[in-house]
Amino acid sequence: MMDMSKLPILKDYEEKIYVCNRCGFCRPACPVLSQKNMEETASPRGRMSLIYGLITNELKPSMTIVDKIYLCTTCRYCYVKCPAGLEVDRIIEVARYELTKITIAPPEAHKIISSKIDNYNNPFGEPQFDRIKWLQRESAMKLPEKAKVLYWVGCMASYRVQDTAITTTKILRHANVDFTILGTEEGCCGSVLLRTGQRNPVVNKYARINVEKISAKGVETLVTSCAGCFRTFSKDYPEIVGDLPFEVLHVSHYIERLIKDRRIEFKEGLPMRVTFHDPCHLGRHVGVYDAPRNVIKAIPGVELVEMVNTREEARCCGAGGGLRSAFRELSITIAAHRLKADALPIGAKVLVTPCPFCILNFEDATKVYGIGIDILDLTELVCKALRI
Amino acid sequence: MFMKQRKLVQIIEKLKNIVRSEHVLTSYEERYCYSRDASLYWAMPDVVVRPHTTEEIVEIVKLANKEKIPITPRGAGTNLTGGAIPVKGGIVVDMTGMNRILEINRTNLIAVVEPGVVHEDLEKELAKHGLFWPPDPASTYSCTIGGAIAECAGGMRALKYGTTRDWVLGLEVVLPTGDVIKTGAMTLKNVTGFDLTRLFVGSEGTLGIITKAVLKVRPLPEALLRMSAAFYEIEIAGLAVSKIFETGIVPTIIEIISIECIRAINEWLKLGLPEVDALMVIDLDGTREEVEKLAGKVEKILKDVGAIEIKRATTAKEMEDLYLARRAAYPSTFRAFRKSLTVDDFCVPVNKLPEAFRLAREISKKWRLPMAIIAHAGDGNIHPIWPVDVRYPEEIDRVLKCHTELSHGILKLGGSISAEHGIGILKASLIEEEYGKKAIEVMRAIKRVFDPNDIMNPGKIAL
Repeated sequence: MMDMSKLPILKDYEEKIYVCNRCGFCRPACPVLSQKNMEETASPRGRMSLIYGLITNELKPSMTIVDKIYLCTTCRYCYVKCPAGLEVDRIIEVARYELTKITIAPPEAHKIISSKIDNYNNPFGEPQFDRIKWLQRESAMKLPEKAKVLYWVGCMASYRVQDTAITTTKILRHANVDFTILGTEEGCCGSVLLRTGQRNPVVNKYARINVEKISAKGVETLVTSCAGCFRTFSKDYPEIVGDLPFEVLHVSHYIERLIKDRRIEFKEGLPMRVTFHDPCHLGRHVGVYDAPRNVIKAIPGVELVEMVNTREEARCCGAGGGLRSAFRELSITIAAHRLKADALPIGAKVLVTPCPFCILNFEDATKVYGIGIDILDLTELVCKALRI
Repeated sequence: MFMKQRKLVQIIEKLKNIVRSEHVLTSYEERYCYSRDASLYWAMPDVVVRPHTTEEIVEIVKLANKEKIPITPRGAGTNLTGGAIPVKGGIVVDMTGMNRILEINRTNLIAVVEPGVVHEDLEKELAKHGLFWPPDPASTYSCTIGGAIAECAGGMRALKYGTTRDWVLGLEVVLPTGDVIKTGAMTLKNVTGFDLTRLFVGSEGTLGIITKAVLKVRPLPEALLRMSAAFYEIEIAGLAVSKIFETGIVPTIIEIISIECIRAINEWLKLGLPEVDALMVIDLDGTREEVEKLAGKVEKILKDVGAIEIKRATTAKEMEDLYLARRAAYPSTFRAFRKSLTVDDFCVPVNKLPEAFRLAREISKKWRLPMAIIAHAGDGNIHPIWPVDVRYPEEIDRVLKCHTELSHGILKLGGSISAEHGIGILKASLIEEEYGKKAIEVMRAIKRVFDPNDIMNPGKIAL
């Protein structure tokens, strides 16, 4: 099928790639590079060099290039540091797409994910009916057929970080929100496919189907748990299917709104000292930095202590861009580095983040490296404060 | 390619016996990543090796010396004159893996570091101890201390504090023969024999590989006062620098950025800077009383010379905005020109700044090149920045011709062709014009003493 989307291709970035001055300002920003002991080939500039080589035909596509181009979490920190303002993360994504088109990419792990999504509608290959297993833990949960708000649970919260799904629905119910979910009809948004260069199924199928399913519920607002789903719905889908017939909010946004509308009120204090981690796909990718902080600040008693590297300068948790699925160990060392280098030095005992994918990776890091810090989803913190 | 295939295979095997095999990079793609720095040049190494100890470097160098294979040491590859380009192929030694800060001693006012430490990391670590290392190259985010030493980096604060050569007390160096020597001392004073430390600072990797450095550090000043002034003509801004010095005041920094940068910064960051020909940013440091007193004097001089919109940053936000304006000058030129950039580097006596600015503009115009100027004006250091589209050889050629003509002009003004970027490949043909034949012969003779087989970064500094 013809790609009718407005998603960029490598050619669109050709002019930009020639602008790269190789100044190397991107180097220290890269979460992968610091774990690879600063080896140039694992740096954003190194990847840009390889892509430069591909467009100038100085290099032929090869497995070595594939390996290097996939060593990236698409965290976009390098973009923040780039004097020329080059969107290295997007250039990486389109390069992955081009390498996938000629079938030498993606790496095996990502191919498997694609086929699992194709067969099971989720990247884990879990049965579709298990998508609502977490609902059993929520007693007597009845959800309407149609509603103003649709909570897009996402594969990660549905199957892997179910506490997030439970706390989110608790909050929505507590605030008497007219909401529903797609339940077993929900599928993958395609975020992982877009990030790993496998855009065709998303362009040809998932984006349209998902938007249709959501629209059929008469929805005005879509609320996502996952920062990746949020980025995909708010940035990628409009490039694929045009403007969406509903607004897209991340749950942190939506809770901020509920607080502002006084539909949520914190009556009791929660004495707690927390720090906040900005998920890359929420912060640098879409520019949402204040909403989750406003939620935390609204809770009486909670003291928010910022890490030195925060907001635009927040270091990545290491999970995104397909890194966790293809390079698990590396991905977890990146999470451990974020905790050890940024969170522990400020004396944080609890790290709050509003993304189940970040949570999963951080929790793995605390287990593997024995790091003494609790990882909490923003919605868990809100539930604690609401005593629900 | 320097080596024949069969030979190369043997060398690679030997290198893998010296360092862990994953630290020997051999694929074309990996080597390609090491074929460039931030200059216009390009050359492929035969192999890249990433040592992590001095002992490993000794073995690598011994091997290269025995086999007469060129070695190009490399830090973060942020060099602007081609210092990290392996023009003759051979082995690129990537030093970024040796990145430990070994000691920070507040009492003795020293820091001991490995060469791969990133400048900004050291700055942050020193700040925790209330200290700083004065050289502040613009590439602080990424450049390494080893690279800064090899290139004798400068920066904004060089006006008051001098460049890297003034802040290195001692070095550990692996010579091309594999011998390890110590230069200088851990002490603040030292005249034990020749000053080999200063010989290595700025030697661009042509004499040996630096494996450890003892840096002189200073307590952070109590107060910093920042001000700005705008000028209808950049030449007048240049004149203002002389006038400030004539009253006996030496600020920490005096920076000048030209209209091309100012416009692009305003468009980008909405800082509302006055869109006139040049903007000057001045920092004064010292005790609070001192800086207040000096600021008053500087303001008067600026006014007398014809500056407009003389402003003192009084709030944290104003301080930050002005700093941001200066830091954004380089990125802003990308936005102004929408192309890749060539950043040149000259130095003139401060009283020749107005002429140097005029000359840079005239010659750029002659070669039909738009240009922005960022100047560490306080020490007469000018960076003309020209856009260049690397796809068009004619454009590169024009930039190089413009650079050469301007270099001649700068030398006629009694200036120097390199203030802080080194010579590398870009300026090798001009060095004799600055120093004369005999001085170059002396340099070549020194090089032979250290490196009889000419394996260390060959093809650089006209050696």
